Amino acid sequence: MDFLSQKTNNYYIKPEGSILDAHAFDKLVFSISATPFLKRVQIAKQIVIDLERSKKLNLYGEMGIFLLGKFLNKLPNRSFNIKYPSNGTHNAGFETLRNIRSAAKSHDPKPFKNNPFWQINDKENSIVMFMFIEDVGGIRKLLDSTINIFQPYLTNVLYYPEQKINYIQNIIGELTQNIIDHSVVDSMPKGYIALAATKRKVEIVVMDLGIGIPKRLGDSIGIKDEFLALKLAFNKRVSSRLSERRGIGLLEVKKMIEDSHGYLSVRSNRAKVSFSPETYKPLGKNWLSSTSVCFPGTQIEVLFPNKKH
Amino acid sequence: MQLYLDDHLLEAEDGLLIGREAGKEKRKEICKHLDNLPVHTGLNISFKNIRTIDFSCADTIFNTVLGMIDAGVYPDKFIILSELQDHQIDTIDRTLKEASKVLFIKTNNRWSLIGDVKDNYNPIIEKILSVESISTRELTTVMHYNSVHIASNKLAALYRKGLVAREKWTRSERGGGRQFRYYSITKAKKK
Repeated sequence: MDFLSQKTNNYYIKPEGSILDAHAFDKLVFSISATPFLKRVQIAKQIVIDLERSKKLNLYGEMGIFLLGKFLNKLPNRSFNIKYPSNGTHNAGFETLRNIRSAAKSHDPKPFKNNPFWQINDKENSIVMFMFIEDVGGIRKLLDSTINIFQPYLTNVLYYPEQKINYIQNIIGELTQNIIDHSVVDSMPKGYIALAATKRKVEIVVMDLGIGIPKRLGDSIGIKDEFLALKLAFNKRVSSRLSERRGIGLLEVKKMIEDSHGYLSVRSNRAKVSFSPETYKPLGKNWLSSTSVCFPGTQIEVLFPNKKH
Repeated sequence: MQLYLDDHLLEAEDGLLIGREAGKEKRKEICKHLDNLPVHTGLNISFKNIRTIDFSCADTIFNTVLGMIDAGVYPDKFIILSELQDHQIDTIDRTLKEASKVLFIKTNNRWSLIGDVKDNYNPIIEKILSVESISTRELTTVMHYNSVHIASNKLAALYRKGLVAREKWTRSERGGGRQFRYYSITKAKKK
């Protein structure tokens, strides 16, 4: 929902619902990218992203805030502001948000560029990380810090078993490597990764703004069906670089999540594939779903439960 | 016949072996080392200085090198891995399984097979270990195979995969053609 306040002459953008997640973020980004929005904000003094009603912010939401800031900063002569919840919602996401806010405001990704930003919340026993990935050097830094910071936290504070920690480390490595391999965006950063861990689960969210898995596989090996391409990428050893016999990474990522009764959701271009935690079989009619808007890159969300179920 | 092992210490920036590019670089080093080895010598690839390895890197290095060994690019040479941490074993094991490859690892002075280990590998390998060396006929007898061809095929498969070594055997046997004696590579000595 967005409107121009007659009183303040500010243009307010309010996400629908109380959860600022990937879906809400998409809606926001796509609505403000549209021409009508650009016309409407012409007369506004300031653009305000109003998050006051947002009770929960997930990792995609955090990325969304940054992207929104990046986009709004490009608008000529328009300042913008982000209104945060005032009721003291202190989930890990909002804690991290404070730092993302400053990066978004100044459109200065420096604090996060190739630099994993870890935040530990001792009260809630949780840990959060956010980072922009530019190159392999960034991945090295990330993996180095997961070994030095994340793994000890998972072991000593959140009590994750060693095998699961190894899986998580591998998944982080493979998904971020995928950003470097497949991102075709010239401008920095190439992709984003966010992590959040509690005693119950580890959440890994990775997003790149490349051309997307279906389009890439379609161009290289001729799979026209976007759903089929996305499904194949996680079920068979397929790769856009056939001669190199690649494609083991995503396949193994899926198997490790499957072994751990985790949850995997992938969205790329117009296709979305999700797998359920219970059986790891497709989630009824929802396991393949079409999204109304074509997401240019790939969004991957992994939930890794600490207990078996 | 005496088998030998030559050490190959893996090194990587910050101890992180990640991605295909790093894998290609390490594979080149390993292939070059294998090229320069005399026959009946294996490469002991040490993970002493490696903190982590990912699937893409492990796939680029080991599945390719083992594919080359299988294809006969390095006859009478083999590779083993040593000084691995548990999580590295798990990653490499999964990677090898994807490509139906198998290899020996040595951890805490214990030998084991990882990867796509077929049920029938271990009894044969254990049998070879328990004796100095074994021929196809001897294996046929001790394993109670119906035909010498079964033993011959199994040993030849293990040899191709670089899991056992062999040398031509000159002692003639009635009805025998070209014959080999097979040796366990776990008996290899450090150079």
